[in-house]
Amino acid sequence: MVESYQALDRSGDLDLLLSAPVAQRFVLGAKLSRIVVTVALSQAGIFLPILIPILILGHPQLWGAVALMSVIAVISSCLGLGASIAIARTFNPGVTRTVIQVVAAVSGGAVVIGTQVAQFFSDEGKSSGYLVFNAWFRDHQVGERGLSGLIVQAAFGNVFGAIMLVAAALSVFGLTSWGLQKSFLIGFQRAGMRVAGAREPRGGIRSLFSSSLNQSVLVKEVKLLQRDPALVFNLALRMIYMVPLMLMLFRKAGSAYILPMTGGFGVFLLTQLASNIATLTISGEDTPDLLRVAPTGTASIGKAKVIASLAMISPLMVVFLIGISLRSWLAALGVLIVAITGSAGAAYVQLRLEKPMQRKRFGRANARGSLIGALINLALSVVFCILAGWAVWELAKIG
Amino acid sequence: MAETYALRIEGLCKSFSDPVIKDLSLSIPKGQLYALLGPNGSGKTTTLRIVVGLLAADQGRIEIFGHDTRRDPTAAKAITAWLPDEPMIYDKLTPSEYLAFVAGLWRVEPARAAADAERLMRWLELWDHRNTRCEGFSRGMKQKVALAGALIHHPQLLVLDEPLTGLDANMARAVKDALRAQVEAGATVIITTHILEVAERLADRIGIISGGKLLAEGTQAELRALAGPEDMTLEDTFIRLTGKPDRRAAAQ
Repeated sequence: MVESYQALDRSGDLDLLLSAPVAQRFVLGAKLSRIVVTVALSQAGIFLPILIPILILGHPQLWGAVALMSVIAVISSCLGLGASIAIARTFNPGVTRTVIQVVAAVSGGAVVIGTQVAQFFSDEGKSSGYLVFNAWFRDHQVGERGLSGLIVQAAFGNVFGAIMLVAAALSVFGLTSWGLQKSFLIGFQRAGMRVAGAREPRGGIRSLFSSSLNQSVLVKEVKLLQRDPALVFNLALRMIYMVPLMLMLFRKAGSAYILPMTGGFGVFLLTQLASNIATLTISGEDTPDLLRVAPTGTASIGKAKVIASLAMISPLMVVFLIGISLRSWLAALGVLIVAITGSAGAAYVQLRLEKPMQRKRFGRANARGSLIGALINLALSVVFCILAGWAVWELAKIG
Repeated sequence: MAETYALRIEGLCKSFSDPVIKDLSLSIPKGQLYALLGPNGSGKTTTLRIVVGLLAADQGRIEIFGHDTRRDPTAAKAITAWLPDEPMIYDKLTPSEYLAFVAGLWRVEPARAAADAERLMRWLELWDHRNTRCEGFSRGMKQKVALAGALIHHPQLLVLDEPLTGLDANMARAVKDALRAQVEAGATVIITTHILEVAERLADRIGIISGGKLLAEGTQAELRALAGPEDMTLEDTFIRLTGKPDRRAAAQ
């Protein structure tokens, strides 16, 4: 789904390609091929380094696994594209991008969360999520009989099975390519005509103005984030992925450790969130030149952005503090100090390492640039998590 | 003593891989609309980006209303507005929100900024779209939002790089009127343009830059006198000064 979105929406070459003297079916067929090849290469990068040595060293029948991988790439790409087009047809063009990203993220996240939930409810949490699913497959003879059996046999070199799968994949590819011609172009033409909504701010436009740089930056950052639900959802999802880890740790810890662990985990979460939001506010800057020509100085702007990042995580911080203060107000105070220090530190690391870029380019280009920052902030989060846990442990004894 | 010049550039030099600005000196009196003309790659935009503080000069001195841009950049920036050819706006903000943000950056008093924002949006025919996100706007509309942002803090020096690029006739007229109105209100406006007719009709003084050097500078009459016979147009003057071959003759 993400690749479909990249190939059809973000590449920005469709106007040129569709206006060229080339049949639309070739253009869209080439786009679909690009999606399939990208997905196949992603798979190959993970599996082929393991599979090829095994294949060469004495298991030649495993050529079928390579064929199966290709078939999976084709079918999953077609399904992802189909889902994306269905979303584009169902939703307003203005929110299509967001819905596609959200559904793609939930689909990906479902596997992680599903395995964790399966583990949580399995045999007192002793089996891994993978083993729980594996046992279910075994019990229901998945991969032994019928269509699932044919797929597994194809993976182990059954020529008939492999031919059937390749034929099925080609059929799905052809059908999707045809559907793409029929469905996508209408959505593509509609997408260029979207109109943004309008609402008068409460208190009129006068309520928008402030002479405080910090407030101006905060309001702008909050509005930009609010109006990009896909980014908000991605941030939320990163936090949600940590919940299974928390559940696992809490299960294994005794009741005496629950409060320090809550404090530590809360600070870890807040520091990570502050780091992510700081990356957004500092790097996702559409008009860096406007800030540079303003008579405020880059240091003041940077400080305002760090403050904005902290302000945006403050609602979550309050929730954690209220929870801890019910048991120990002193421990809550300790967590507050550590959380603010850790979050400010994380935001400051991003400030030092990140470079501004347009928000619309944010998802792709930033991944490489922020790797060092992300690693430093992960280490920082762990350190402050331990610090908060220790502070809560000690302070809860006092009051 | 009151400062006579809005902008003074002395001995400006800037190199990237090759020298782009070579010992450029220029003085622009206040209260005028000054057009900087030059062929592509002549160093116009680089010069203006150095003036507004987006690029550092290798050598030279720049003063904006007497404020040295290197020693006292904040004072210089506080009275300067920069409007590049690609509007510096946030697509997800509305014009009202954008103006509020810019006013906050320049720390304009809120009540005054809100009143000015309303006046500017009405004047630039943005009022009906004040709560609509800029992402759906045409290029001309975005340029008008950016222009309103540039004017919200009452700059004394307004620097615009190709402000009419991509605008239709109505939008271009609106922007030109807005710039003239700023000059009449006492501000100084510097524009770069490829459209010689714009410079001819709009500018009080014109500077012609090529190869990073100021070739000529003055009123239209002064430039024509510099270039030769009286019946020469600004285009003829420009071509003669920048040393471009006579393509009509070559074509014949």
